[in-house]
Amino acid sequence: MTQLATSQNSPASHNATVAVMDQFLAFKLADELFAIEILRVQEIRGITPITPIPNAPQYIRGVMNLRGTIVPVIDLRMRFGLGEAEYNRFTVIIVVRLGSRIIGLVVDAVSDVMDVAPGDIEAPPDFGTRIDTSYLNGMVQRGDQIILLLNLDQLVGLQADVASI
Amino acid sequence: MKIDLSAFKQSFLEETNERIAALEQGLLQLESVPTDSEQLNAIFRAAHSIKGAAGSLGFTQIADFTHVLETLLGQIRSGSAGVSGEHASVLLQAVDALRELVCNIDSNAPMSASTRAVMDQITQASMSLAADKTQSAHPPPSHCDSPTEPANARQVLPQTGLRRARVTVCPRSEFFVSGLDPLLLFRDLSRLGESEGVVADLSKVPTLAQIEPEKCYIAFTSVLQTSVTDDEIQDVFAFVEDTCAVQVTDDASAPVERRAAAALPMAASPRAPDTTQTQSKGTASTLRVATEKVDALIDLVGEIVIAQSMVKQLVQAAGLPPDSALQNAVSALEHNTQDLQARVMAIRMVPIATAFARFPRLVRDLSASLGKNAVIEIEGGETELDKGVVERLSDPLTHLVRNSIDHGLETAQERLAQNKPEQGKIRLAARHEAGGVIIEVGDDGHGLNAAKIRAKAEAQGLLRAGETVTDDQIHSLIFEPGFSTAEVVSDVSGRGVGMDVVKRTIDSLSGSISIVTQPGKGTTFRIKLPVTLAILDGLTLGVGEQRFIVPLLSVAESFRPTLKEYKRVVGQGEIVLVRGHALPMIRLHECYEIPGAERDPMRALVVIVEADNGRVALLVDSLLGQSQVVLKSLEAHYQRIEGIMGATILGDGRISLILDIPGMVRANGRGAPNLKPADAA
Repeated sequence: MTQLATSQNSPASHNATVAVMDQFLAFKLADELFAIEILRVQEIRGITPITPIPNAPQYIRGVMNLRGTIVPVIDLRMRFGLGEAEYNRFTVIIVVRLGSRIIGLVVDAVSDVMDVAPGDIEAPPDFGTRIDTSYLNGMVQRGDQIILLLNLDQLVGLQADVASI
Repeated sequence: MKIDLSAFKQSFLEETNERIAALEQGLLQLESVPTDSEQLNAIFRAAHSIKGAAGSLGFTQIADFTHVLETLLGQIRSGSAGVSGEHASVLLQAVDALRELVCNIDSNAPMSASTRAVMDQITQASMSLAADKTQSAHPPPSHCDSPTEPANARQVLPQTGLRRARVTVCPRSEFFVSGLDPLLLFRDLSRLGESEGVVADLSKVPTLAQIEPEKCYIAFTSVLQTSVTDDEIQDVFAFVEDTCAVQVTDDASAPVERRAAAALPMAASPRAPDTTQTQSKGTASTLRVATEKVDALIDLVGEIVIAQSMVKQLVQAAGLPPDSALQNAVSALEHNTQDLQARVMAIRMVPIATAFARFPRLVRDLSASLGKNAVIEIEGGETELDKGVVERLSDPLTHLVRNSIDHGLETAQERLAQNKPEQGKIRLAARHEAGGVIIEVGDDGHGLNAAKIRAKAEAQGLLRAGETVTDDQIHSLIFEPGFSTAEVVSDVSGRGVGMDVVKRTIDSLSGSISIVTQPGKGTTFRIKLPVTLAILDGLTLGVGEQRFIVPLLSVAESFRPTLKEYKRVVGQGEIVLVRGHALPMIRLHECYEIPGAERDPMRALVVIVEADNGRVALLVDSLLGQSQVVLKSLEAHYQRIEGIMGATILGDGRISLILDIPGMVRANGRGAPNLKPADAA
């Protein structure tokens, strides 16, 4: 077959021939499925040693060494109050880009990359999920599963940066 | 063809700002030597270049403003009186106005009222100079001389009412190298009027054997019948004025006569080589590089240093025989990496003179506005510091100087009454010392009044009445927020806002500031700074599983306390006795909530470090050696944390926080300087 190998799952390939789709990375957190835009994802790492830092909110576990860059790590379970979990060999850190910053998010496990047409995105439900809807950009239904789309910018509400004088 | 000029804007801004600075410096020099012809030329050229560049890029406000400025400067330059006192003031105001115009270059607003006022003042000065002139300019001291002509009234041709302008063009020898062609210049000139021909002066052309084909040896003169002004003629040469001297005068000679080349007395210019030299001196081989590129390079080199130390650690852990090829290779790698790092860091070093440069002007202006007579002495401008540090020093230094003039120096009468010289001295000095840099800002005024400070401190509740404190501690109270003993709040200082900001800035640069003062004699603020922020010599501390780094400069000593040396004090926490002095002890494992650390001081180690107001003792498990550490800021991806200077990556890949002792002590509310051994329980 001489079809072009433009797999729909290859990240960041918006073909003109395919209807405009956004790609999302889905991951598991306390038995719920969440997703974030794949373009924001820099990489996915297994759990790495985290050095705690003082005076940080509980959900900021500390910083990790990402090939020489010092990157803060946020535990999403703690951020959303979903109960703490032990870190084990399945625990994963998703490294995302937020503007000029790089942040690591601790999740239970990573799932698929999905294509989502803008029309598929519905408003988040007012009830039925355990987390505050202000963190959500919407939700998508896949089969009988509901995947909640996270608003990354809302999520990481760090204090005003660089207290320079 | 529409050319997109926006790409040139950045260079325009950089060059214009440099020229404005040169203009300002030249004016300040001329205040002391008003007839320095070299400076007069320099400032004229600066204004002229700004005008030309602004005009060609369409920045009409700047071009118009500078045009007026240039006219006045041209008149002053060609006059014999030099720069008068009033001129100097107006011209300095013009410099400020010009800076403002350049800052607002993107706004489409009309000129502000104050700028317009300055412009009017300049025009006035110009007009009165023109009116004063009974004798026209003798030829300006430039590179080309032409016969002095009594061109008072414009020579107007009877037939056409046009004037005749003699344009003399002396390109420098490197003219062609810039890709310029005199032919094109004259072609442009011919658009302004009718040329009576161009005559060449061949007096500087050497023999055939000596001719270098890429050099220009010929000067040209042309007489133009035109109705335009001298300035408009000069504008034709706006772009080349750095490589070519142009003179435009009125031609009083009989019209339409072609002169023989030999008759033109071009000055055999022994001066030309000199000025070529002074011109190109500034452009010795330097390279303009965007700071982001250098920063990226420094970051990368930092990564290499970390990676190399990881390799070293792994190789050592492998337990190879000490002389193995791998070990040797790793040593060579380490050596070269350290060399690379030192050189790359040196790229960011700039002389502190760049921060000092604005002070002569500032002192002059402040003295005038505050009614004090002050002069500034600057020493050690060549001392080099990291560019980032120099930039951040600018504001604190400015505040300290302002403070000295406003509150430190007495008025002229007061000084004379004390048998002091009438003119107060502000001293700004920098020097290297023991791995750091010392910067001093001092005055010979009346010194700090400890009693007054104390009274104010007690009134503000910073001190209890009767509390015993040393003079040094009293003096350092002036760094408390909101503290000021100024009776009169001027808009320059007195609100008590400045000194604490100064201290915080210095702290954030990992430096320290101290005061040396003598009543009646004066005050000196001494700022100590590390040379660079990116690498530091650190001592690695082990606390439980964690590693911390303390700047080696802050470390005084370390020991394991005995029973006699460790005490708990009721209401004050724990202290450690060091040769009779009681120092507060800070448990790092408590501050940073580290499990598994040694809690018994007599089985742990105490490290004595310098904080703001004395020393403190840190309780740690172990000392793990000292090394040069690449400091990585936490602010890039996270935020600033009080007490933490940054972080680094150790040879084994772990992250180690670098402690900022003064900040940490503040954050923990410790470091009380008032403990005495007698208080010990």
